[in-house]
Amino acid sequence: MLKEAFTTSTGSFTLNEFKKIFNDLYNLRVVTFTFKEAFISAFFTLIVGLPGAYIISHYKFKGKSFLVSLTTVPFILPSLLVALGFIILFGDNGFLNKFLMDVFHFKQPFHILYSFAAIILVHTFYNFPVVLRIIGAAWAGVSDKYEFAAKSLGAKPLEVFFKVTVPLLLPAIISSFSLVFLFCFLSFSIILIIGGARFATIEVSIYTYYNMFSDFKMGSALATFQALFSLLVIYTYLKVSDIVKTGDIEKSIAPAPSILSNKKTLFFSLIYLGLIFFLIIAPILVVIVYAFLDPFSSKFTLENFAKLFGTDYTYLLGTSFLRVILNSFAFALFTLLLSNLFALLGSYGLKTNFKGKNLFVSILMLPLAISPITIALSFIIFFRSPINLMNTPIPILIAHTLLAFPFSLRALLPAVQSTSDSFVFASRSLGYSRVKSFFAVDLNLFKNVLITSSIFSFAISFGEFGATFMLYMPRFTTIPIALYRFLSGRHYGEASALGSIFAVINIISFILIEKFHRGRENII
Amino acid sequence: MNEKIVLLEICKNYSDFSIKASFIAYEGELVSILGPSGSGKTTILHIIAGFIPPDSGKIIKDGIDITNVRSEKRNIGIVFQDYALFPFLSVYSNIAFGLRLKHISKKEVDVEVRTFANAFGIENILSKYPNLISGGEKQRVALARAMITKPDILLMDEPMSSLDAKIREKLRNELKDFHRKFGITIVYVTHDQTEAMYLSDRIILMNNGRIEQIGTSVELYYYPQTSFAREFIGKINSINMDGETLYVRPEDIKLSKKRGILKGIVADIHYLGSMSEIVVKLENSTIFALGLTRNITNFKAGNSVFLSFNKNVKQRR
Amino acid sequence: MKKIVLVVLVTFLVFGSFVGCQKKEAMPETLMIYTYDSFISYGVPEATNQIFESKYNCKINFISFGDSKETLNRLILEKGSSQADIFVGVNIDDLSKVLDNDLFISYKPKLIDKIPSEYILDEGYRLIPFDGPDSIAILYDSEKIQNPPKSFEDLVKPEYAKKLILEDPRTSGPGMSFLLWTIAVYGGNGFVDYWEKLNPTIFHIYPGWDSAFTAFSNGEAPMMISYDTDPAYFYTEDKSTRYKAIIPKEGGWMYLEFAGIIKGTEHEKLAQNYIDFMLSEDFQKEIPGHQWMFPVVKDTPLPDYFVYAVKPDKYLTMPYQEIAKNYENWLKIWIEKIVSQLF
Repeated sequence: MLKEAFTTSTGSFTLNEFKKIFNDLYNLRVVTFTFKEAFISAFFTLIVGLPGAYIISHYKFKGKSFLVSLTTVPFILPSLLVALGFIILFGDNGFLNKFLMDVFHFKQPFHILYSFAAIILVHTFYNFPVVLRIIGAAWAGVSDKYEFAAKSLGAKPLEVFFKVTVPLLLPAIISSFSLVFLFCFLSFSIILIIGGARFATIEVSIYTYYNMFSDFKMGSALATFQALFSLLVIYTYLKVSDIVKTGDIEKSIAPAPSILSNKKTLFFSLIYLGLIFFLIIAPILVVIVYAFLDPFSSKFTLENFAKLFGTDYTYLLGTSFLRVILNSFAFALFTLLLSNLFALLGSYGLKTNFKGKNLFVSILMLPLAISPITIALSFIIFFRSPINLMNTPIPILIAHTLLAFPFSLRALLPAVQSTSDSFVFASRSLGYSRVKSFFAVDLNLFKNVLITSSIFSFAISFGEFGATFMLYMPRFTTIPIALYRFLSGRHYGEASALGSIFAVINIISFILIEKFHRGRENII
Repeated sequence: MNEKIVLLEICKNYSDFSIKASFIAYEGELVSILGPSGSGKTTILHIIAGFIPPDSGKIIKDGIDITNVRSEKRNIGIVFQDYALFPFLSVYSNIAFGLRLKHISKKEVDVEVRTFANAFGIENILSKYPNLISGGEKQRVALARAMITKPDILLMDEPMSSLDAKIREKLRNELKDFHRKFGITIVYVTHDQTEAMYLSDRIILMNNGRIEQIGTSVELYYYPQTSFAREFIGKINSINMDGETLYVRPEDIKLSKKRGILKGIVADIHYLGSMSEIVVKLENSTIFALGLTRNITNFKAGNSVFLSFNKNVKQRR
Repeated sequence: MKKIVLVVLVTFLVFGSFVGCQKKEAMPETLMIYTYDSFISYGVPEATNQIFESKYNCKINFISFGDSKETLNRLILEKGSSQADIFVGVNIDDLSKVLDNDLFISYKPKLIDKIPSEYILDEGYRLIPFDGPDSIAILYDSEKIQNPPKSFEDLVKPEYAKKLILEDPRTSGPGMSFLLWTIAVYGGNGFVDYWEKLNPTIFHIYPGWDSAFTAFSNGEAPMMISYDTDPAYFYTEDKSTRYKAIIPKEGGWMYLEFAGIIKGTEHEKLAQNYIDFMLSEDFQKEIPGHQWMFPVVKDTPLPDYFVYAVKPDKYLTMPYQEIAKNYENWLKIWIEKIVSQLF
């Protein structure tokens, strides 16, 4: 059914459109740039995220889950609000430049934004939680004896890291790298805002063809090309990860996280956390501060929040404000359940080896590699006939699940594949049915990755905008749509206020999701 | 004998547990650290290897203080509980791992790896990955991997605990042969007293983070110095006689149908092969006696029986 | 396990409740109107719907799928089976696309004579202008720019180096308008030269009006391409005249918005009534204060603060067919000659 949706949107073109892509020097440049930008962004996100993954997997400290949840906020906020935070902080007239010019009497502001480096910075900021969570979860499950063994054989710390830790984490590294790569591959508005007009990605061209020219043929051709290209990239990664054997990694006896006590580690952790705070959390805080300011007089006010909860905006939003929040919640929870379910089923199905498995897995990842606009367009065509489902929430739900599924799969697949069946056999021998032992054993075995999968499927649905906006009806208005509407109506104060509420709900949900999973042992 | 490694007043404190230990392992010796799980034996091993820094105390190797030397510079090999063979490397690369770090030419590495593989009889599985080889093969690979860098000391952390009994027995012999052949100092951690007594030159008995007793197998068995040592190593009966408590090993009890110093009733007989164990009910206790199976065929459950002790019992209590 | 079942149940309940709300009692006739997002959020519907609804005992539903072009695309995709009756907010540069696609039916409103004839671009009366003409303009911060550029030629002077914020014509309506504006002034061949001279003036090209405005209001650069009525808007918000606008003396780029009845509507009569309503004073007088555009109907009273909005001496325009025919090519030239040379 889903495949049909794709083929309806992309099936009707001739090769001429593709020729057009390659004949055009500009398009070629765009394709090269998109690849370069995505690759470098993913690489740096990995580098920046790894120490964080180490810290969260090896140490426990107060406010850890709060901090980790906080880093996921950019993931759901509309790019305009994120850009706002960055411009206020790092712009030519931003806090940092004002500070530098006041204190050090610099004559010229630093051009921090509007460069290639800035794009990488912002992409790192966006995708940091992907690396943090996926690798963190994997790292927490790796026993430290491998590293000990390497040390005893004379490996220096760096050698231990590159020759033992990295290979052990490779499935997770590949997973998170390919996810970040795809995200950056599809990124466009943030690139144009932060980078500039010369930094156009394929997605910009797709947008231009769809929206400026209503040229669905050329748009679809580009989107297909983009998808095929991503497919190729994922496929290559999977091939690479196949060559690098991983085998059964001992999962059960990983060390429990300890309290940060080593002074040196503590020192570096603090520096790292400080940097993360500055780069990732400060821009969010700016948005929150803005929520309490009158947009014109810049005085402290609670009015932005008061207005939100009043009835002022029922008309503007198409439904009541509380309903908007409820909608977002319902979609996110449903997406979480469906996406986890499908990903678990998928992962089990993929435990057996078969020919073309890598290709199949790559195709399962495709929704991530197709721009939400394309997905939404194909949905509109598909759900229009024969029965009109457009008046129901089903298309939105399917779209969200489709977008969240690759995430859940990437999180769960490595874990499910590297776990032996004996745990399940053990529980079944104890009289549990397959279904019961699934709840009693499997879900607990994959606790860490399930948390990761749940959090991302929740976040993706919670923050999804592009596809939702094309499929919604006023009564299904979600928070991102409400945000968009406030921004389009120049209600910046209200947008910041809603953005803050959004972030807070998001953080609370994540903490609850973690609690829910961690607490599950008690049920058995 | 040279003192190969000395632990001097090593202390390590955790929130709910602490370790205090001093001991010596001599050149070429196989010393076991024996104790129940949670007694701190693996932690001590990790302190020797340098994975965990002690809070206080010193570790001296060949007369040199190595307390602050990083683990990769200590030249101490280790074999882990389930061997920790790198799952992403072939057997060959696992063995070569330590040599490759030393920037030795490929050819030399190859020669060494094959020599060691031959020595451990694993030359035919070199291209396999660890998840495809048997438990016994894993131990040999782990030993080869640890030995190829020519460590001064080899640490072993319960290397046989996850194997079945038959293989364990076989590997025990292999290990003894290996020890004789290489003559390396081994510190061997186990919770299995049979294994410890079988393998060790000396045993360090640990309980609850403290050393209970250090001695040869015979010393520990026949001259236990603490009640923990007495209870942990082998079986022992405690018998109340004339207001004093007598500790008697089952094999020191003689059974007779006619005379003895105590009278009881045979409750059960456990046939163990060449030896058998007889459970005897006394007035207010149950004791175990051990004898050659052929000597006790005439006893049946329900019979009354007289007990007497070997001569040496009184002196050794 | 129990917990999981509980969670599933709760979600179903929540979901059920919000799906269930769509069952309605016998509804009055409903008019479904597609429009761009800020048309809803700026508030014209909120200010006018009730008048229409009570007069005709009906209900109006405004739905948006993004900006004007995005929503229009939706309509094109739904062609023939759309649930919508009216589309509000077609731009001049989309007229050709819309009329070629045969999406609208003809209706000559009762008050058509009140609209100056030069603004009625579709002689078939399928699309009726309801607001404008307006123009994009150079919005500037008068605290930083005392002497604003009075013409396109002024704009390329070194004193304005790195001071102008633009929107990207590939992704933004105003960006496209500005590109067309320079073409209207300098012609299809001359605009490249102008842009090359303009390059040093550009601070940054943002993908949309909103990100550009975010940067402008944070003081990144003191000038941006925005709308003629912006100063009036700022005045109503905080009684300040710090932000001013100027339209170069070459003339403003004419900007009109159109509405039309969608082919296949089941409420044609009601839709016609709504088009008439849009031209009535009840609707027209709300346009300046909410929509921040000039009303298209002559002699509609303007609010006082509209004195701060700027009006050009003349409007520049091009036949919409010409725009449609050449725009892709112009954009390609712009990309080739300008984007690759930027910075």
